[in-house]
Amino acid sequence: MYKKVGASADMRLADLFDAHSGRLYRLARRLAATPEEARDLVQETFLRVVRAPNSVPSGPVAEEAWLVRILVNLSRDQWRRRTSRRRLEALHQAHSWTLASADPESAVIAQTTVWRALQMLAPRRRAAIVLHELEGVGVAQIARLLGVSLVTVRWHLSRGRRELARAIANYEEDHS
Amino acid sequence: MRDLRSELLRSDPVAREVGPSPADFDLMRRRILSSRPVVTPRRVGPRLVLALVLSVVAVNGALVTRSRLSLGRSDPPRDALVGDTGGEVALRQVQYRTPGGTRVFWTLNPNLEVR
Repeated sequence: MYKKVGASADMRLADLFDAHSGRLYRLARRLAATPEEARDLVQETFLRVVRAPNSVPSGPVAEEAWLVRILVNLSRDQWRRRTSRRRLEALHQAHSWTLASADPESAVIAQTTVWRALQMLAPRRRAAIVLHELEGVGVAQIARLLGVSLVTVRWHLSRGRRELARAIANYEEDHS
Repeated sequence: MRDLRSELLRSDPVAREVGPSPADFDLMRRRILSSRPVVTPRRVGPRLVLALVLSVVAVNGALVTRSRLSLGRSDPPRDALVGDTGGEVALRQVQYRTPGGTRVFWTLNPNLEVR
């Protein structure tokens, strides 16, 4: 009986991984600064499943929402731990970029600027922006995925867009 | 200024990077599956026996202590025990009541042996 329970839990875990790991990695990569960090986020998300297998709801939609919430929360924990260091680094780098002239590398720098600006957003806001702008997820579904209200998602999107637009505008002003 | 979505798409690392290979995912999958704790049936037999033994010892100990206390309380003064009995053997009687209400009478000789 115990073997049966263990085997079915293994199967569920394997099924969850096969169904959601790719999508979770893409989201994690867009939330994390590096590919390694994204892999860690995905792995830690599934390790949460290992630790509390009964807390995962059944059904692909509910499972996905649960996993996304865990991943965003883990990303938030990481972000909180590193927030002060990152902000300092980002400020320093933003300063360096404004001094850079329009050279062949400016396109790469511009990309990095957008991405850096995104990294500066609080994880839930970043998740809302990524899900909406990059993955094309609707507001209602984002609310369900993140476990927040529609109003909160709209607020995060609005604030996030403004913050990103400001960062991009600053960059363009400096390089015009 | 170009729109935000196109800026984000242009700098999207998922579009620019190769990402983990199937082998990487497979490795991660195996790592996660192997980290699952093995569920083994809990062995209750030895624990149950130990608990039973301990409770029997505890109950016995409590009963013995209680009997001794009762015995001590019902001891008559020593003078009364060794009083002049006119050559007869001085006996003494110990009475106590069990928690259930049964009254027990022990008649003892001077050597404190039950008669």
